[in-house]
Amino acid sequence: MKNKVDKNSKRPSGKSKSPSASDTKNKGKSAKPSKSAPSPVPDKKAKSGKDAKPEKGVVSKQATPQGKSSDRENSGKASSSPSQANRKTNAPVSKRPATLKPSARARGKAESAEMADELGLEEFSISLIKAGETKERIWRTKNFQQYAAQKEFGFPDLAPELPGHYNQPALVLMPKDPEYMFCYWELTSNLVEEKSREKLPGNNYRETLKINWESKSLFEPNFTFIPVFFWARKWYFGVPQVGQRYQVELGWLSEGGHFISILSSNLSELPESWATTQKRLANQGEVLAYSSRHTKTLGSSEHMVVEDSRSFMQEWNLSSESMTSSSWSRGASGETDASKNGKASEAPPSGRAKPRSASAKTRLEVSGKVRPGTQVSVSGNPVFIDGQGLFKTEFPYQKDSLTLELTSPTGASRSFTYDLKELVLN
Amino acid sequence: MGYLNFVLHAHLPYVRHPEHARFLEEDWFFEAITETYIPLLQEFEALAKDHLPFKITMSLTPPLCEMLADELLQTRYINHINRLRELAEKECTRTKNDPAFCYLAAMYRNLFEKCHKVFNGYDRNLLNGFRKFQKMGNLEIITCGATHGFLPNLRNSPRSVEAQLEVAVGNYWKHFGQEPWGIWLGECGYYRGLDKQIKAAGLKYFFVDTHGILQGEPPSPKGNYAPIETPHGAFAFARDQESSKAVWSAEEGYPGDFRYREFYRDVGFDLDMKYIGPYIHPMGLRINTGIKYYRITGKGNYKEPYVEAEAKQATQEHAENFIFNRDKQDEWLSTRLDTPACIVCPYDAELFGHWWYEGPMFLGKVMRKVLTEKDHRVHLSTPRDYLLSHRDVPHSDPAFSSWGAGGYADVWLNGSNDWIYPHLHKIGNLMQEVANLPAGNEQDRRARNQMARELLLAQSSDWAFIMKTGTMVDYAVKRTKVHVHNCLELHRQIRTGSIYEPFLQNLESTDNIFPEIDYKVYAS
Repeated sequence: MKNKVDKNSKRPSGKSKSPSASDTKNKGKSAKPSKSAPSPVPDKKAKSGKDAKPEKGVVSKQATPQGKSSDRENSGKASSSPSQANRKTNAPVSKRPATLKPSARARGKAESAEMADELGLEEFSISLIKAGETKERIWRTKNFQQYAAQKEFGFPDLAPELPGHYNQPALVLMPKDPEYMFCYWELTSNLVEEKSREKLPGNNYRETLKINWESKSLFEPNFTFIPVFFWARKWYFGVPQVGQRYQVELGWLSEGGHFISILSSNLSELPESWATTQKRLANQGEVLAYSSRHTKTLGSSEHMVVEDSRSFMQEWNLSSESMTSSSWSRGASGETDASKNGKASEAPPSGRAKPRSASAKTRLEVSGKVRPGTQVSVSGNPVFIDGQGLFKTEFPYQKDSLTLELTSPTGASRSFTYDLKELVLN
Repeated sequence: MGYLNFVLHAHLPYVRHPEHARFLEEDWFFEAITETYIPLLQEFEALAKDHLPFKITMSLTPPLCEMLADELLQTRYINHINRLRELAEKECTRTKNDPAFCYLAAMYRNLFEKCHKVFNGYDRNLLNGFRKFQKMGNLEIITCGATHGFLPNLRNSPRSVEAQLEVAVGNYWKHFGQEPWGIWLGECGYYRGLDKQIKAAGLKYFFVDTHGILQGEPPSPKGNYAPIETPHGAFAFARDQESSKAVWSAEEGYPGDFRYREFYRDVGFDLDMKYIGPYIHPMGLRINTGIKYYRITGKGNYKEPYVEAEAKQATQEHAENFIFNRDKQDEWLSTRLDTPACIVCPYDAELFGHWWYEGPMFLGKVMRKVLTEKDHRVHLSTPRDYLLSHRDVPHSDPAFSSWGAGGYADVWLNGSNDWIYPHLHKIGNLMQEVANLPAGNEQDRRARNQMARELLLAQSSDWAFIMKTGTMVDYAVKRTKVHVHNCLELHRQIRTGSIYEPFLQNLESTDNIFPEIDYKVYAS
């Protein structure tokens, strides 16, 4: 009986013209040109690809630093964002009061020279460090372009920059799936300073995430440690045991096992793995076995639309941007990405995740010199600047680009994006 | 007799840009009206005309309801459909010497004319159409989180989950004059304990994906073929995978039939720029117009002209197959369950018509067959009807789950979008802080309400979803940042007592969702 249900569910009834039949019928025609509409049909590649996104290639070709301002200029000139159509004619008149001016981005051109000077980045280098080899690229930069003025009200031309931190300690734990969790944190210098007094003299400590869970007995382990970097401010980790309730603590662990907890997270629960559930339900009656057997892939089965979309986009050179008017559909789930790329493409620093295009052991060393007093962050992570304006930081290679952000003591800011692909490929 | 519950989840993010004469992302809404909402209402009209007592459930999300009721967007839709009417007319002329294409051009001309007529027939507000069938008892309208927030990722922010639910219920009351029985949780996202807030919001039932029930504690002995009662007294219905697969699956789903219309061939991309220019985006960006002349034909680039009669025949065959399999499914389940099987078939509404052009017709035929052919085992129902007949259901505590890829939070929490959560949680905290302050003057109250709107708009799961899928990412990033920024700025102005009226007024006019909102929903 059960088999009968399955059998009949797979395809439309025999009398129907099934997709597979159509497939066979059309196999021989696949090489023929498509019958098109009567009037001249332009080359799809030329029309859709080039018309759609003229500024796209500008970014991808770069191996040299690009200020955000120059990117924005390009997009502005090409007017490539359809969202911005007619914006000039409808832009409200700016009457923003002085009290509302939070950043230097809104300053006029007259100040640009002053700001460029204020934000001088005298030298900057990125080193790619692999086992047995080190590659270094040095950029020396003199002039930076000013941010475009931001429209004050309405939907802005440029996305406003959000604060890099809120000066409030926090450690938040979130479940991702039965095997992975995510946490993010914010540390304040006061808290770090206060807690660092607990370090035992003569001990080496390293930054660590302590993962706690509820053990089922006194004789089972209920915590473990994974090394992290405080500057990363977020971490994915594979859980030691599925189906548990977890809490994490951020702190320092000494070689001798002394752990200093700086922050504790909320509790967060994970379900058991689906494989375990299936195994368990297989023995709990026919209905449960049937229910669980039909859930091969959890979540929606929305592969169709995305898969089709991508295959055609590739063949016709229709960029994702050019297919914009379809992107709203919930049918176009991100599922394909997830199933193809798994966790690897989503990799912020993590013990189990792998970076995309460099080995897991590859690291980046970023160093440079700025005007003293300038704040620098590398891909969102603040770095320490010494009294001479020198900075140096190191972290795992995760992305093919790196963003350097400078903020002057007066609040003026600049950012630059560096494409690292060339460095990796070379 | 098994219960067959169709559940269509109709949702679009709130996209409304009065500051621009034309805004590309507003087209999402216009396309959905033309291709999904009006065709569905037309199917309902046809069934009602034949006095067929159909039953279907639809979640009309608060952002969608707000957009459907918005006068600016209504006017813009008229402009949109008028452009399409003009294009279709020109296409009839252009293709007059080719019978196959000329037939299709006329088909689109008729479609757009009908859309124009139907839209005006409902006084430009399609909610009037949905309300009509709700009053007739055919359509069970349920709500969704206020801005379709993915609640498992919002729970770290105090009152954010409660506000998503309570604002949604209030908005439903505004649009439909009654309380909703059920809710479609954004992305079907559930976590253990959420049933408490659902129940507290006055909602009786919700949906989870199959594994939400199967990984529940204890697992319901009836699997996903009966709802369960949760520890806090709400009822959860689970998706039936088999019927889902028939429609969603890339390999086995009906929409992949080669006779159906090909989505990815559109005259917006195919025709000469000089000709099509006035009907695509003013900036010259090629977009889908909705006029598509080809059928899927097969795998690959080779495409043949669409043949409407063949596609209709396909919907007939697929409707028969769908019912046949549900009958068999119910027959098998009936020997193993002591209550009638409750088969829940949820789909994105926009799959029907937008992606699967013939989807509304398929749905209409399925319902018509069930209602007119007396030998079927299953009958159309809604969760409300089921609960009114069967209150004695298994008790269980559903598990963390979603209907997104992988079944959990992966789509909304990954390297492409995890940066949003520190900000979302922060502004959630700030909102609660502001809500707990002593009440101020009228301007202060307005600023707090606007801050609540900005928070809700930032929490829409659509932005994280788009960041993950990689299409229109810039817009999603910008929307997130803009709403977070507005929240932070409003918070600063409220806290310092320096509310800048033009800034506030501008936000009230652009981000005007939920005019009825009361910020106190965030007070602890």
